[in-house]
Amino acid sequence: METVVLANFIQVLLIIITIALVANKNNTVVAILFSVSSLFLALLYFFNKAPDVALAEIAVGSAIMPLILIISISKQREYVVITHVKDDFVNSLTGEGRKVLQDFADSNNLELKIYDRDIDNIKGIFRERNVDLIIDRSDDNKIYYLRGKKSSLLISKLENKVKNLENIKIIKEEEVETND
Amino acid sequence: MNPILSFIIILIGLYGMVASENIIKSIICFSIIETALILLFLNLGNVGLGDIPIIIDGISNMVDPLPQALMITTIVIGASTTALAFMISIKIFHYYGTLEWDELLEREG
Repeated sequence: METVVLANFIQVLLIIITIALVANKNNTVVAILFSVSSLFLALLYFFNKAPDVALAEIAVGSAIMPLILIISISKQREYVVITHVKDDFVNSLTGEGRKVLQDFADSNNLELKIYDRDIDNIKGIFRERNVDLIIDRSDDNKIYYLRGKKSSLLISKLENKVKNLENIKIIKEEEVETND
Repeated sequence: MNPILSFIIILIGLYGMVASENIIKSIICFSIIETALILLFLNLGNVGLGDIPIIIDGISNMVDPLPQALMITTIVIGASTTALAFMISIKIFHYYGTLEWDELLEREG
């Protein structure tokens, strides 16, 4: 009899945790609440005479699922930039383009990642990544071109940000269908 | 233990899936519905006042082992479908530049 009372109590607690999870807007807090709710669910499975299912739920629900969630959140927060320009425009911390990009990334809560190596030489590595922006330079070294995907909302925000600057130009490109 | 309490968790998850603004939140609510469904099935399989279904001497009355065998598969499949959904959400973020439902639907329409 005591087990039934305890199980009912835990189930009501689980409903409260689920309401807190649905009401929360911070994704990192949601990951931890999901892990906690998984542990309580495993206890309820055990009270329902299913210890093998409880074992699998502890391993998958409270360890692997929050891990996948945290990894995917951190992957979504990064903004990958590839530069073909060798001068101080983005390579040094005080360069003009670097300042603009850093400001843009901070205001949109993104993590800026700049790679200055040539994409053709190490194609195998960069095929795996989602490149968001490519920096080029015109032939007379006066105008810098920032090329990004036309479909992305972030490139429109960046265009609004740099429309007062003379030497930076945004080019929106359609993404080409690939077979891979 | 009452099946109605599992139903309440399923309904909360359904509300969260429909009403949340972020794609990641919707995927987590989908996962919540799945775990509550597993709890419901185990609850229905817990018949009589039987023991844990492991055959040892002196145990004659045990619960139904079939829902348990099915639900242990559901946990693993659920984890893999959720991982696939997260991967697609990363692709969506790098293509459209946002993960909020209203901004995405605005672009499409």
